[in-house]
Amino acid sequence: MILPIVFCIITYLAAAAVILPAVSSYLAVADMFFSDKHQALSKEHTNIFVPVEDTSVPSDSSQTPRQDTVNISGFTFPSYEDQFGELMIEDCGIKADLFFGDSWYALRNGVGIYNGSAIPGYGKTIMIAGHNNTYFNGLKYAEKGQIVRIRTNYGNYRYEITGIKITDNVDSSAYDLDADSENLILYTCYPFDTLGLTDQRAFIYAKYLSGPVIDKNH
Amino acid sequence: MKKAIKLFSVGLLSAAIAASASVSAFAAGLNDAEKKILAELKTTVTMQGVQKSLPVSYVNQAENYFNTVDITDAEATEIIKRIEATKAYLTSTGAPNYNGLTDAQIDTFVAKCQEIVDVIDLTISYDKATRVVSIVDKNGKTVFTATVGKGSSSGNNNGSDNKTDNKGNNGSKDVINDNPVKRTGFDFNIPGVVSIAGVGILLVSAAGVYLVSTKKKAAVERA
Repeated sequence: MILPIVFCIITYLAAAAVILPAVSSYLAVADMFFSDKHQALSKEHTNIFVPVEDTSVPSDSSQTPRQDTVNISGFTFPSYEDQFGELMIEDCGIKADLFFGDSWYALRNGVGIYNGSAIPGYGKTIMIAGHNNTYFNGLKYAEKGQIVRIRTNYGNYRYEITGIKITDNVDSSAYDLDADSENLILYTCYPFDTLGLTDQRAFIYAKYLSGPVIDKNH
Repeated sequence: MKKAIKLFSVGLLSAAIAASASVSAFAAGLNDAEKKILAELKTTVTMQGVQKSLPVSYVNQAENYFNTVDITDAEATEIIKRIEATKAYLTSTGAPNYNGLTDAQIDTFVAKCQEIVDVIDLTISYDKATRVVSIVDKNGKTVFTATVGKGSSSGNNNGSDNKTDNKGNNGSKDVINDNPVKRTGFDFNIPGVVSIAGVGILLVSAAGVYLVSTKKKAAVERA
């Protein structure tokens, strides 16, 4: 009775041994098109995220949200590929670890702030990328008025979605990294459920609601 | 004597703690030297008579890095001097922008950029094939990364200089084209998928064989 199973296993292994070397080059080429550049999977990142008390949402609804400041010397400024927070959009079912830098590694493990943009509270554009098949697939449910929450190692932030734009990935009018006011941009590949790489991106725009402003002088 | 050693040890430990604390305190935020470098990075360079700027994302990356380190006045002075020399070189090439540089000019440009970051112990690597430029610190930690010129980080930039800026103007005002938008599509490992599929087929086949042999055995027993 065990003989057929053993036969199957041996046949499979023999077939794999013969076929795999012949097709591996084609698989590698296909991999180049369908997968991001490979990096060491054993790599470990620095996690500096220690949640702080949430003061962005008042316990009494009659109170206005507190807009504290946080001294830049009072926390560890994230370096490239550091995990320093988490991003949540409850209405979209999104909860992801937040990295500084949007490298292949960061997007494999969460969502990443482009290090040519800014961190929350810095008063500039925050541009965050995520894969459409994993952490940012839920952006297909994004609508105006929904709240984006970002928790970091120095404060908790809330943003309100104000708009959605589908455009080409080389359309530089989709973002302004020179903005002098705090604003949030989330983006992922579009269509959301497409397999493979696409030329289009869905950009989700959100305005700042609350969270400590970083005092850059102290 | 023991007491003296103890006091000395405590003093040494306190000094070490104070020193480490002061390093992290100074590292936070931008000092005047770092602000001077950022101001220099925001100035323009003349190429074929047109004022060109460094992409704002590059300056932002520098600012984010400066928020994690301390650069001295002496280092800033030397860096600014070398930036000016690099700008003069770009002007002298006669090229309209980075994409107009020859391979030899790109090599010289990258070498000059390396001279700039040498001041603070950083290392530039540039892959001509992918046009990815990276700067790492002495610990190998990335402090800057970008895909310059024609090849975008998304892998399918059309490479045109005629992109639309965020003010709606056609034609890049930047020395180097930059596309910060990354590949965020479905990412999977084909050999892994093939292996898993193979194992799945194997298990189904084995189950099928087992089922058939069981049925045959039962039939023989009934007969």
